[in-house]
Amino acid sequence: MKTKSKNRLAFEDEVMSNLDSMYRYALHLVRNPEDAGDLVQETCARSLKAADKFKRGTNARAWLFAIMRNIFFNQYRAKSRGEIPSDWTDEVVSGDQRFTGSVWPQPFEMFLRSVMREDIDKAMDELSADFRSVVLLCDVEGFSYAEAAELLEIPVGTVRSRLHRARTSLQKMLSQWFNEGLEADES
Amino acid sequence: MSPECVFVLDHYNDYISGELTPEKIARVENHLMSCPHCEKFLGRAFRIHGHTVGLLRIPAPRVLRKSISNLLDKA
Ligand SMILES: [Zn+2]
Repeated sequence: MKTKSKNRLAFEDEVMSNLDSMYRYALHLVRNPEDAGDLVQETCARSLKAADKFKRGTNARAWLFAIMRNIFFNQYRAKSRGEIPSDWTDEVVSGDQRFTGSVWPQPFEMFLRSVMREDIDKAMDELSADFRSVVLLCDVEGFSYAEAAELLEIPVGTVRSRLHRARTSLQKMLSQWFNEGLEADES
Repeated sequence: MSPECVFVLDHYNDYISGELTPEKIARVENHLMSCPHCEKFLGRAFRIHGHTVGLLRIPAPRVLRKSISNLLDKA
């Protein structure tokens, strides 16, 4: 078996540790899990060809996202179907515990989270793709305004205003959930 | 509503995003210590943000993780 260079191993680490982010961004772009998986595969295959040029310390995620976005605009856009089916896997329902914490009473937590997730998906679907992409990049993936602006090729001020408007819309659409959640939390 | 309340209202989204300068962060946080209304407002905004982000932060399916891992091993 051929020994891999340090750079190559670092690159593989970056790919694996950014896989969840890549999948979420792919899902945002193509709107269905099957094509999202294909898009991630293709992005990885494409990026592997340039892996030797990868330097540790580079913003690997921004680079991988840029490759994915490029592939999407060249190949997938025409056939993207525009719907996220509700039958995502169980892992999908659970989301990220680190961020949501445990606000709900335990026996109901998983159930509530799954119902709430459906509402959040619906609310996200109500947003235009431009607004969804800044929520995904800045809020979900933690890109700075400047990083999102560079990837999306729009001004930083546009990222900022889209994000603020998208958050306001999401808050309005989900307000019932959060009023109930807050009451439970504050009691 | 005081001018400082207006300042918080104008900047809380950037505060949540971590896009404020240290001076502006200090100004927001200073005001929060003396204004229960803004403190409650920002607390709620943070909570909504945290829940939404947490639930949107879904993992890649295991089968995809495995196939990418294989792809990297073979290459
Ligand atoms: Zn105030």
